[in-house]
Amino acid sequence: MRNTRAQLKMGESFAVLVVFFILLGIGLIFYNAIQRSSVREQQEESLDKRAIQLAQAAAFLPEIQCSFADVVQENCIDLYKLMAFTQMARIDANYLSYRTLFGNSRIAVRELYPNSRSWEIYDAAQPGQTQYRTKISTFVPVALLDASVRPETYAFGYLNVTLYG
Amino acid sequence: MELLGIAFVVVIVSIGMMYLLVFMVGKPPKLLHATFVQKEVSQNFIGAMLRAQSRSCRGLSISDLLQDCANYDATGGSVVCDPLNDVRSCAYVQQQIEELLSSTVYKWKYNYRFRVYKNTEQRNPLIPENCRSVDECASGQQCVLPGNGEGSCVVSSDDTGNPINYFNPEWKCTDSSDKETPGVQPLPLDVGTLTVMLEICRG
Repeated sequence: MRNTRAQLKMGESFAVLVVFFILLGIGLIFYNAIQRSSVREQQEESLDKRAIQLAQAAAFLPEIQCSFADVVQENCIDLYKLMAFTQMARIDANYLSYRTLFGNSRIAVRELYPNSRSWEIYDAAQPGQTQYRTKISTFVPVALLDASVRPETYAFGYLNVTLYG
Repeated sequence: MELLGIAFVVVIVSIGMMYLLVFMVGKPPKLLHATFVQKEVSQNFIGAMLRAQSRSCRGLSISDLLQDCANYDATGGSVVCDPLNDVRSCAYVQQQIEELLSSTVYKWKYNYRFRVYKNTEQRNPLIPENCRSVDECASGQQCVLPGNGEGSCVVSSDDTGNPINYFNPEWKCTDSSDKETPGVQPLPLDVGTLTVMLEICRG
């Protein structure tokens, strides 16, 4: 009789332990899921901020910005600086030096009006482009200055900055 | 006694999970890109557009043409851009702006509203002009009407000939819409001020 009661007690204790570990397991799985979602959110936020940073860096790139007597014109790209920069950026050594600034991205300038033409400033997204999970595109309308004529003229275009993450 | 203990543990764990669920999973990520783009696009679009030289109107810029149109709006502008068809600055500049809007903010699927108005006449813009029927629009223009109320005179049409309102596609961007700071550029006139405004609405 005493033996049976002891067995029952042990059985109960065992059941309690089993339930406790099941609950602990569920808790851990839940915690893991939340952590994963939190990390994903942080990655998303970080990529989002990086896209803004990249668009600003491209829009205010001193190499192509319009300037006269060291006075910079905002929201303006000098066409001749742009053409020269496009040529220069094709050289591997130069391309690598921009890699730290632009990372995995593609930056292009497109003239829409009055003519239609485009230039690619930087493209690091080519090798294995399919492996990127997300891409954020930013379009920044800009004035394109042609300083070779008098009076100087402007065209309408936009900067297309795509960040791959 | 043990069962009471288990029940207690279950309650504690459940409360913990609910807390995490509400405060961590339900929280949307703080994404700033959309807000940044809305602000940047609207102001930059206006700045770049006004400086751009027109395609075929005496080498004048879009801002010159807008100012001429506003100074002489009774005659449709004093500058004749196409003498053969008597296309004056107002009609010409409206067509050019529609082209720019269609190839940028419309193509990028933004929800926006573009207006050019004199002084404080926001509700009665110079471009696009309000209309209730096509008779109120200049020649070569069509009147696009929303479900109810006043419409806008536009130049552009789709492949089937139906007019497209590139100034406020589908009338989605209204006074009550949630929007960021609009892109605004005032231009001086002989009398008064001309305001060019691009608003980008959320959603």
